[in-house]
Amino acid sequence: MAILSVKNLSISFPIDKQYYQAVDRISFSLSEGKILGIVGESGCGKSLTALSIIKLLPPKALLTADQICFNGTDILAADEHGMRELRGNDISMIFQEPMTSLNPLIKVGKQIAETVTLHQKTNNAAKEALEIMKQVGLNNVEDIYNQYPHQLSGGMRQRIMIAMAMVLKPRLLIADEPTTALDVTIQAQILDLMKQLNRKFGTAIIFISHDLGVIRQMCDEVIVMYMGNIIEVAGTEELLFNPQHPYTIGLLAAIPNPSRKKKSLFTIAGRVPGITERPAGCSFATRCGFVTEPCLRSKPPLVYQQSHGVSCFNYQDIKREIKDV
Amino acid sequence: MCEKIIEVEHIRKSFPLPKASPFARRKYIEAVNDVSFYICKGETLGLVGESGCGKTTVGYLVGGLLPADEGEILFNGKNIADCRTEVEQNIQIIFQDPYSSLNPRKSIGWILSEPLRVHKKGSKAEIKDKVIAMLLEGGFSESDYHRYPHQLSGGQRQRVGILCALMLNPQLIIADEPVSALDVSIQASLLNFMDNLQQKYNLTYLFISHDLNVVQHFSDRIAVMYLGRIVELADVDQIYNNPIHPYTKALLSAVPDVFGDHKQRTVLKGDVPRAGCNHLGCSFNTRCPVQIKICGEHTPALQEVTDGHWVACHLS
Repeated sequence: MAILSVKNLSISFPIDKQYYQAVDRISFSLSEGKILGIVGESGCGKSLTALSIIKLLPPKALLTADQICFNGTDILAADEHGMRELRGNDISMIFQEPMTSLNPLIKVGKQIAETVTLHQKTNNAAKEALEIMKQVGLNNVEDIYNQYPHQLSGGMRQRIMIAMAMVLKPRLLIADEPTTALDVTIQAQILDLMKQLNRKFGTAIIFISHDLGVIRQMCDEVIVMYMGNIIEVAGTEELLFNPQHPYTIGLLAAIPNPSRKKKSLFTIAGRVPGITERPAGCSFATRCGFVTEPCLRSKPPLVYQQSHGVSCFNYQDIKREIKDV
Repeated sequence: MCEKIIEVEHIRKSFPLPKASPFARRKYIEAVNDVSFYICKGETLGLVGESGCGKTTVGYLVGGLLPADEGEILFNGKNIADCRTEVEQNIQIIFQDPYSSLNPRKSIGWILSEPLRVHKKGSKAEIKDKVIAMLLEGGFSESDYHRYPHQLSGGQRQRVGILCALMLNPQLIIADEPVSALDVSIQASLLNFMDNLQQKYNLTYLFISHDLNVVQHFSDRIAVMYLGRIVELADVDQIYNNPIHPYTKALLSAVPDVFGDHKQRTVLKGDVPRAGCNHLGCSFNTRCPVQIKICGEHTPALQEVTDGHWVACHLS
């Protein structure tokens, strides 16, 4: 059962009275209780994609889509009131920077309880807040309840954020780079926690990250984005060990790998074109080493072989060529 | 044979904390606590640790940007406090954030020529020639001389930062998280660039980073820091294949691995203790999974366990 399905989502921004596409007709779906990863470099549209699901895009952005359907609800048709019902209750989000996303003037416990009182008529908000704080692995929850964000460490703040997102047991959690600002030992704790909550409550997670190591640890399926396009989608292990798209191959080769130590790293030539310079055909054509004539003319469709989708005209030839080398 | 370019002997540095009240006694945090190591000519020493462990402070102390409270830092056998000009010309620093480390109001040419002007190396025309030669070496074109930092991408800016550090032909470069703010593909090209420069100019790097994959790729030896102390120092392969200190083990197992087999992970409990609180015994004892009684009483000294492998742990 797909809990979320997105069809032909586009997001564009006006620059000098002309709209430029930041996300370009992408489609994906997420099954109940699964973890879907979205990877890509900065500016590839992964955060925008996530924000569009809960309709929190900046006001200037223009969103068009054939369908964004969450658990039977048409998100495209929902108004602001309907979205408020949905956010927190059914879909919630964790942001990257735990310092800036908590209110510095309100005690953290109260901030969690607030989520409960906003959505439910209950007198037990504080009790529920304490309960979820225990669930996310905080000790001395009564003390922490009465502390302000600046009194907590980064890892604890991120736990508070997760507690706030999970307190109403949402069906879908969107995590936008939840561990990027944390140290590795704390990151390991937070990732473990998110995985536990996913198993315990069956919450589906969209996990956005630029770190393929983190993605591998967390996700069942991964989407690779480049310039607002989905260029490849596959099961995590399949993607990492059998990448098909030249960008994914390049990205993986650019990561320092212990077994190829001290050799120089692979680099992808050139740079990501700006939003106003989007190529007419394949968006990766300007940097691709295997570019052919059709690539410059039209955008390659996302072609599936079983559950592995790749958006490249020449991926079979490329695979052969790389094997020969 | 190792020719030591930098010798650090038992340095300490503490910073004053804000006082709770005007009458309270001032408290200090020990950012760097009894740290000793050396760097050989032409090698890369990686310095890893979590945020707040004092790795940047060590970089600043070695670069002469901060004076040490205690201990000595020798550059080619001379105390860096006694040879300021030599240190300024021969030790350079690359900073983490290429967005805030370049003056937005000055052109790239001006930024790159500044070190030469400050140290009065040559006439105006000579300086300009040298800057342009350097720009070409860094993969820029001559026309980039008149561009401004905001016109460059993050990777290009960091390249300017690296070139700027190279202008005076230094012997040692302290790279403080040089690629942490960049995307993977850009990171790769910069690491390759730094590697090529090292071979060409016989540079020595002190490479500070929290990204263990990058450090492993780039370094010859690695020092692991925790709360102001070096807890383990050894060859890259030794550290990665045969870590001894429990913190090193936990740190390595916490790194999400892209390619390797799924491994057994030790997830550390708790947070790094707040700096400033007085701490008896080993600094890691609040989180250590294998501690014994003595760990709460005495701070272990950094000892050579096997050849070139130094560990500060009672259990090693």
